[in-house]
Amino acid sequence: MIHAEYLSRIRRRLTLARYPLWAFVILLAVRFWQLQIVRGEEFSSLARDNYLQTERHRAPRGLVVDRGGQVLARSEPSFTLLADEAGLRRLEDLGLLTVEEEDRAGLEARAARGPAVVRSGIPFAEAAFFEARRRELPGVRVEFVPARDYPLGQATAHLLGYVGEVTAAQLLLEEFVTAASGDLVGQDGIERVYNRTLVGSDGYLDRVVDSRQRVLASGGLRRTEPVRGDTLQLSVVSALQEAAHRAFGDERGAFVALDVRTGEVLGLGSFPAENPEEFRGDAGKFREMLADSATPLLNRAVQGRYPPGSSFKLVTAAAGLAEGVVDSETRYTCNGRARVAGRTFRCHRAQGHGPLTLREAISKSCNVFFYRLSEALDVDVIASYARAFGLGAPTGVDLRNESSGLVPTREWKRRVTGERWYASETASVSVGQGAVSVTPIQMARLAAAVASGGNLPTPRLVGTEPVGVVGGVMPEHFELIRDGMRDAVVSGTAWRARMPLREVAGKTGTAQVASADVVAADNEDRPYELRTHAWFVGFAPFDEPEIAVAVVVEHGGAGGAAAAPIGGEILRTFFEGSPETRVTGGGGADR
Amino acid sequence: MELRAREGVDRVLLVSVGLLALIAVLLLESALRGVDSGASLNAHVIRLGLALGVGVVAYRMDHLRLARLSPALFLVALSLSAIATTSGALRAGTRRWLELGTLTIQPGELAKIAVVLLVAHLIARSLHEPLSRRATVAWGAAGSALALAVAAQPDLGSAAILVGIAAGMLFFGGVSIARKWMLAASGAVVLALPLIWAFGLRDYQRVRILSFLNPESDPLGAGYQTLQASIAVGSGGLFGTGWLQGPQTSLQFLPAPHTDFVFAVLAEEFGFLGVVTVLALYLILGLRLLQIAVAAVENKDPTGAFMVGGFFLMLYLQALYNIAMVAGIVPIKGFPLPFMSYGGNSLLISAAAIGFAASVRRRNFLT
Repeated sequence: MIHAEYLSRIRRRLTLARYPLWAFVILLAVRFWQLQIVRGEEFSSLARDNYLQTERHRAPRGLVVDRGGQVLARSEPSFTLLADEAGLRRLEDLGLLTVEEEDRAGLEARAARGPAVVRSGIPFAEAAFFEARRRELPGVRVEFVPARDYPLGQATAHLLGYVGEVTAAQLLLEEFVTAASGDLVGQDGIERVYNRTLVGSDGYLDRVVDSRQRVLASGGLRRTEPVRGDTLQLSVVSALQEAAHRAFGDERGAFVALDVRTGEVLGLGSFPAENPEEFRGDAGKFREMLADSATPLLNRAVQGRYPPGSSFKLVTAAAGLAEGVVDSETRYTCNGRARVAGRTFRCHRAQGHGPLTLREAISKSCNVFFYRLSEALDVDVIASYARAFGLGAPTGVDLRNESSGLVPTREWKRRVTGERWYASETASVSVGQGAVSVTPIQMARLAAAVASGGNLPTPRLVGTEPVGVVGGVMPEHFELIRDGMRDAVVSGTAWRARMPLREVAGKTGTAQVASADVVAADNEDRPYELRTHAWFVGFAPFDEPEIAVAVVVEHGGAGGAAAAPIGGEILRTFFEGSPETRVTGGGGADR
Repeated sequence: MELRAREGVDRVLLVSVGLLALIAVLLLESALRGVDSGASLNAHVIRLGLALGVGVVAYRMDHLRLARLSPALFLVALSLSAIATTSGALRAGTRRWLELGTLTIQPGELAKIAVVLLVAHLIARSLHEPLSRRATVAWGAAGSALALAVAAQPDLGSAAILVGIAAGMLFFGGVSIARKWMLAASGAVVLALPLIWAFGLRDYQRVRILSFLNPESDPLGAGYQTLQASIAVGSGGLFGTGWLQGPQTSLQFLPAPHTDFVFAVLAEEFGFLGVVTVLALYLILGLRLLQIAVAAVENKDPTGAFMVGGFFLMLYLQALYNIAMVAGIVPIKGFPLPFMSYGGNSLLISAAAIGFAASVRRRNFLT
């Protein structure tokens, strides 16, 4: 027989077993409460991350058009190859990565943060190749990204700038708050300054995918269409851009043309230039351009600092007239040289110009007249007039990294060199040599101020700014200077800027980059980088000025020979729309 | 709840198991839509029919006569397990299955029921007359051999279940264990853990444990399953996403939704309410099994009591572990959820267990 004691122990233990059962069931219920009720939202969002994929449809950038509505920049259909870290490795393993060794590191760094652009602007066949192999190439995808196209190419390169993938550093800038990794943003020029106007808003498409990334549905979910960026109208005239590009040929330099009355930029260019389409997505080419001694990425029109040479005589003349040192009748005699403060200065015409007035001195660009004039002017006085004309400070044009140039003063020299100012230096400054430096856009603005009789406009590519005034210079002073500039075109150094039907006024400049004492006298015999810069500043028509222009040809030789023809070409194009209309014949000197 | 003598099948057992099986059909319909391993709901329904038949047969059997046959049954299970271990079908690096034509038998499952019957038989007999030392040693060795054979497949989980069943039944059987032996045994286990970690575990087993401890560390590796199960469970919320509407299940982010993680499908699509409902059904079923065992003791049927107690252990060690695994409390282990997971062996064994339990109950109240 079984012991009753045994049976009761067995009974007790079987009865006890229900407590751990209860305990486990309650424990599990509490755990599920925690997962499902307390942390439910968190896990729901993780579930959405699993199955919801958002496809981004990039918005095309807005058009950039010129004054007449002609397209300067547009977004063309184009395919871009993107890859993340794993995708990049896969491409490499398959030998499909054609990026040069040196660019590899940068690409890999970008890919580590998310899909990065491997190649842009790839042909349709290549896009189809990658699209068809999505399965074998996880992490690699082809995106339809509207690529930027610039119909005028080099003629508008610096003006418009270019677009490029936003960099890691740029993502931190206020300017690019709305950009995301992989986005194309304006990197320079108008594309950069007006990036916010030009970028549209991207479209999004949500899709449901399964664990193997197969797309199961895309209907009935969030879907927003991409919206193209706004069209940006610039004040420039395409024909001027093209005419200047042709006229410059292989020369280096820059030009700026302004509307005399409003300051609107009618044309702006810098050469050499590279069509952004040529270096799009090509880091090797880009590096090459950065290293190029011809600095094709520098926008000389606003960043280039040049000695103005004789074109600065307009400022010295205005100072002399306004200070009462000279008037329309004052004559100085030029015998080819002048001795100022114990130093001998030469005129470009060795045999001298003889006695001449200010008007004649401007048209013939006589140096001696201005050396004599400078003896009665302090450098700080000249500087104050230079500043009144807007030199020595950015003009306020809507482009980036504008240079100030330099207007020297006694104080400036003491600060920089610790030495006092010498009177002979004032003589150099009076003819635009020495420490004076200007940008082409400052000189175009100066020309506009002279043309309008003292109105100093702010150059703008989009919209207009209030027009300022050149203080202290009287209308009759401007009239005298303008007469001298007309004579320079009619019979003086700037004759190559002539055109039929309308009268042109202008001033040339031939700026030394090295002392004439240490280099060969003949410009042609000097090494390229020691040759003179050629300047032309002018406006037209003479009676009712509409357009002011400044042209600099870097190491181009004499202003009359190298810069005036380009200035003339720009002015002729503006009025006639036909670059073929040229004046022939000649007369006068080339200086 | 008092058990009342009543003719026929125990309705609590029948209703709770029936509801679990019914809910399982709903869950499997959802889970199997995304699974392309050849598993089909039809096959499961056919197995349910088979399981019903097995249950009825078990119910009709005289459990005392069966207990006397248990040594033979045990030896069959031991032989089959040994055959599977040495020459069974190789699947995912383990040999747990015997293939007979289209039938696939998992001797590990059969071994569980054989152990329950044998241990119940031996303990009940020892109440009348203590086992001889030789018999004790012989059966101890045979039991160890079975556990080792299963462990070597390798199926450490099932081996642990076998040991757990035997230990639990010995406890129910009133075996008095001296405290010092308890201490010595648990001390040995603690000391053995590092050795087991170093020499006793295979790489995938170590990875499983490590990934369990920190599932987010390696989202696409071993911790992926635990994480995806938690996402499925958590996103169910209070009411669930609705039947067939769970993205984790239907888009196949949830691993093994029809087998090991069928409870996660429940949690996702029917929410916390569904979870509580099924937990309650398991609780009711478990309590009922214990009641039947207690009633058998009172009716002087220790064999029946131990059998039902053993089946309780067999079903609940697996069920609670499986649900705890879905809840992310314990490492992933391939235990099926009794009555709910897809797969024939577990279903038939579980049905047999319930059939025997119903049989024990009927005999204790009809006579």
